[in-house]
This record gives sequence, C-alpha cells and structure tokens, in this order.
Amino acid sequence: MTARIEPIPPPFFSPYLDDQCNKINSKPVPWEGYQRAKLLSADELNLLKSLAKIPTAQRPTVYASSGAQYARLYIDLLRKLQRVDTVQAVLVSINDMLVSDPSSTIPLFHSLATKENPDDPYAPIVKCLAMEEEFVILTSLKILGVLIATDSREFPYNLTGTLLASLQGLLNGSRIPLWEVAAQVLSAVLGTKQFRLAVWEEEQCISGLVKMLKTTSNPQNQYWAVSCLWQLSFERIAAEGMNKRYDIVALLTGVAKAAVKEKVLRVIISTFRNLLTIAPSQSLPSFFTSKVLQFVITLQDRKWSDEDIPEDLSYLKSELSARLENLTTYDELISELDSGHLVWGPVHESEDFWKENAMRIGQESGGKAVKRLVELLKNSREPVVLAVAAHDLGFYIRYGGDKAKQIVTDLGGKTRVMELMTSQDPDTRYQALMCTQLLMSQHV
Amino acid sequence: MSRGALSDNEIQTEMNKMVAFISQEAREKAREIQVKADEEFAIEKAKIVRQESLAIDAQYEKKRKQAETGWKISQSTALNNSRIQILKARNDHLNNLFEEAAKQVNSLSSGSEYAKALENLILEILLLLLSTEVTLSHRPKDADVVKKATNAALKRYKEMSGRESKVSYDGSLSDESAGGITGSTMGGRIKVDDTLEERLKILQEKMLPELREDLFGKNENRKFYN
Repeated sequence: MTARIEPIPPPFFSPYLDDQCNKINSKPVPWEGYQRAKLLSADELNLLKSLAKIPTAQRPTVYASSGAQYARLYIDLLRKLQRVDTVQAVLVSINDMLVSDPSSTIPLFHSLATKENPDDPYAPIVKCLAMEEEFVILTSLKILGVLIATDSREFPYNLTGTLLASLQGLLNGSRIPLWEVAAQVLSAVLGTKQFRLAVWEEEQCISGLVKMLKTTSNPQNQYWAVSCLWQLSFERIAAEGMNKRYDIVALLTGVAKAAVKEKVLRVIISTFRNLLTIAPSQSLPSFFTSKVLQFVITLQDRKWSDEDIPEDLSYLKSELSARLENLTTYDELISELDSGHLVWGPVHESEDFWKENAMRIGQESGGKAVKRLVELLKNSREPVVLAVAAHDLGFYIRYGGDKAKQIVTDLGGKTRVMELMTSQDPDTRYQALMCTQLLMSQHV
Repeated sequence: MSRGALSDNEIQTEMNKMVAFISQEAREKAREIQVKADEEFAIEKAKIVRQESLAIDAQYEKKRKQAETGWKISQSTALNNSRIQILKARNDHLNNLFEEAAKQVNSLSSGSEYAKALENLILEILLLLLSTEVTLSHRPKDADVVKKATNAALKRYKEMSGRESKVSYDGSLSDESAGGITGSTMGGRIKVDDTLEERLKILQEKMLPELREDLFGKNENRKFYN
C-alpha cells in the first residue's frame, strides 16, 4: 500500500568540486590496460568505452536501459582499484550518472547489495575515504551524501564511524571549500534518526559547525551550519544536551541578530522552535538570559517573504510568554525581599507558586531568602510587611521540606512570630497565628 | 551604466547564474519542507501504531474474557448436569426399593405375625381415639382375626387406661389391599389410618435419612445431626 515516492536528492552546491570534476573528465582513462591486466572483462570495457563516446546530454538514455550494469560496474571497480587517477575517474562517472538523472539512477545504486557484499554500494565508497587525496575524499563524501539521504534502508553501522571521522576532519579543518562540502554532506545524512544519534555521539562534527558559526559572516555557510543543528534538534537527546554543551541558544541568537539573509533566520527560528518544544526545561533559562522573547517580538514587525517564519515566530512568542511568567514570579519575590518592601500580590498569594518553589527558596544562596524573611519579620515596623512575611514563612514551612520548621526556629523566627501574635494590627496577628500553628503542628 | 551592453554570451551566463541561484534557494527550502514532513510522518505513524496495537490488545482481551466466560459456563453446566444425574439415579433407586417393599407388604398379611400386629394396631387406635365408641374397618377376609385381636386389645386398653370402649365393625376395606385396620369415631369425623400401606408410607418417610446414609454414604454437606 505504500506509494513509491521518487527520491529527492538533497541540494548540493560546490563550484569548487564541479571545477575539479570537469578537469578530471577531460583526462581520458586508459581502460584497455586494465582489461589486459585482467581487472576488467571485455564486456565491462565495452560499457566504459561506449559511454565515453556519447555526449553528456544524451547519456540518460543509456542509463535508462543499462543503468544497473553501470552501477554494478562502477562499484566493483571501486572495490578493486587502487590507483588514484582511476578511482577519481570512476567517482566522477558515478557523480555524472547521479546528477544527470537522479530519480532513476539513485535507486539503481541502492539495490546493489548482495549476499557476498551486503554493504554495497556503501562499503567500496567508504573505502575511498582512506585515500589521502582531496578530490577522492570530497567526491566520495558527496556521493555518499546523496545515496544515504535517499535510501530508506539503514546505513551499515560499521561504516558510520569512518564516514563521520572523515566529515569531522574537514569540519574542523581550515579550508573553507572543504568545510562547505562536508557541511552539506552532513546536512544530507542528518535526515535519518540513525545519523542524528550517531552525529550527536561524534561530538567533533558539531563542534566543527559551532566553530564556523562563531567565525564566519558568510550567510551560506551560516545556513549550512544551522541546518545541521536544526536537524539534530529533532532528536530528543540532542535537543536536551545541545544547549548545555555548546550554548546554542546564545550562539544562534547572536548569529540571528547579525544575519543578512532571510533563510538563515528561518532555520534559526525553526531550531528555537524545536528546542522549546522538545527540551523546554533545558532551554528556557537560556531563552530568558538571551532575551529571545524580546528579539522575537521585534522580528514579528518585519516583513517576511516566507510564510513559515511568522507562524514560527508567533508560536515562539506565545510559548515563551506563557513559560516566562512562571520564571519571573520567583525573581519578583527575590527582588521584593531585597528591597524590603513586601506587599500583597500574586507572588505571595499563589499556593502553586510556593508548592513549586518553596524548596528552591530555602536552598538557593544558602537559604538567603528565608533568612531575609525572618530578618524582615524581626526588624520591620510596617504591619503589611510583617503580615506578608509571616504569611510567606507559613507557606515555606508547609512546602519547604522537613527541615523548614527547624530552620525557621533556629533563625529565631518562631519566637518572633509568637510575639507578633499580640501585635496591634489584626492582619499581622492573624498571619502570625497561622504561622505559629504551622510551626507547632506535627502534621502539616 | 557606462560599461556598454553585454554580449549575448555574457547575458546567457548571467541568466544561468541567476537560474542556478534561484534553483538552489528553492531546493534548500524544499529540503526543509521535506525534513519537517518526514518528522510529522514519523510522529503520526508512531501514534497510529500505538493506537492500533492498544486496540488489538483490547480486542484480544475481550475475546479472551469471552472465551473464559464461555468455558466457565459450560463447566458449571456440566457440573450441574452431573449432579442432577446423580440425584436422579439415587431417587430412582429409592423408588425401586419402595416399589419392591410395597410388593412385599402384600404378603405380610399371610404371615405369622399378622394377628399380633393387628392387635397392636387396634390398641394404638383405641389409645389415640380415647373414645367410648369406635368403629373398626377391616378387610372382609380378616373379620375373624380382627375380632380376636380386638378382644385382646380391649383388655390391654383397660389395663393401660382404665377405659372401656364399644367396638363396632365394618368390612369396608378392600380385600385386594394389603391389610391392616382403620378406626374412626364420632360418626367418622375422627379417623386413624393404620392400614399396612399407610404404615409402609410412614416408615418410608421416617427411614429416608437413614436409608440414604446406608445406601449412599454420609452426606458431606450436612451440618446438623440432632
């Protein structure tokens, strides 16, 4: 019942690589010699020679009829050959074939696995990565990227390590054109869960991307790097850890603010959306610190040619606003305590707030907040402040854990609260009474 | 723009570059759309798979429960049936026994004990009725035996109760019946039935528990024996 969907090859852009392919194409390979050395059969030789005679524009017809044979031939050659120039030629031929007619030629390569060679077509190509020649490595990576991104089967696990090692080498290297190829290939393979998990394990790949983001102002490179991060963020474990390890939110916010091209912002916003949806508790503090909400609001004022951007922006705005409310209440309390001006408000009245935060209030900064509360209780003259402080202490005792009562008593809070039960102000008396009750009772 | 018009070739090159650029941008966006779509598909698929497997589990559980109930019902039915069969068999056995006994009762009246039995029965009737006027009904063929027995009974009656009774006879019992005697007084308004058939009936009823225990063994469900 599954519809056959034509594989869409991932986009790939490298004039650098294209140039080199053209150069190699202009140097004919002496295949006859190989046939004499028995590395090629006569038929195979014919295949190669006949293809070479036909101009590029007309080759799709050949591929349509005998594409499978060519695919088999090329992969077998890669397995057997050692000489750099011949390997280069074969790789270029494969590349040409894939580029000329992707929808029909790609599946031909996918179906090359046999019992003797279950890892075909991948194993021979991955083998090429060990050759220390730039063109071979780059073209192999490109071909691997195309084939993996369109293959519905899993990639052989034993080959992932080699592939990723090769990629991370280029991603951490200093040569930009090489980085560009590696980043695009990485983006291509990050379409699958298998690779998302594998790349997350292989830290160096990600740090190579992060490094580029910190140093480049080239929008295309920014786009490629963020694309990879975006695809990684679909995977829960990556989304949860990404920010902690690489401080992604801060980094991306910086890039976004300076970005010139819309598509860079597009992927950054998509990445934020993923982080917020999939790993909210890990990402929220950073969203807060980097003031992402404010940034999003300013972005909403801009005109976007892409429809998805405003949608993502409004999602970010409503989610962040809703979640940040909770966060600010806590800080509100802290700032009220610092100033000494306690007033009745949602911070003090909301029981949920205390349920969630009481423990934190008692522990953060060595229980500074609690000490401050008791201090205010002792020193303030204003009835409102006394009442609120007594009330807050009550909540703290109730939700602050087993030691709460002890802590308050040790700080002298208990004595003071009992004194306040005879205060002039009725509100203060009431709150003090409630607090004393909580201090005394065995069961809260 | 004072550079002068571009040549055709240059125009073509420029256009090619623009086309390539637009194509690249489009393909990048297309890939983003595909990635998002793949993700939605995976989530939706997982949800549906989970829903369906829960549904299958529920279906299976229902079927299993039905099968279990069905099995329980048929087990219970079989058990009940076998119990009923046992009870029926026992009942039939007892009935056979009683039928056999009834047949044998008929021969009692020709036995040597008959006269003495009649005397005792008549005595019982007199003691039960305690009336001065009693009518005894008997089989016509028993007439002599009954008269003799009555005399003996009357003597014992007087010894036991100090009373006397005037006895009249009527041969109204059928000769075909097993024998025995019935007594009545007050113009037939008070009757005592001491025919042999009646005595057998009483015996059967009284002996049933003991019979059952002798034939079928102790009843495990019985709790009270007093």
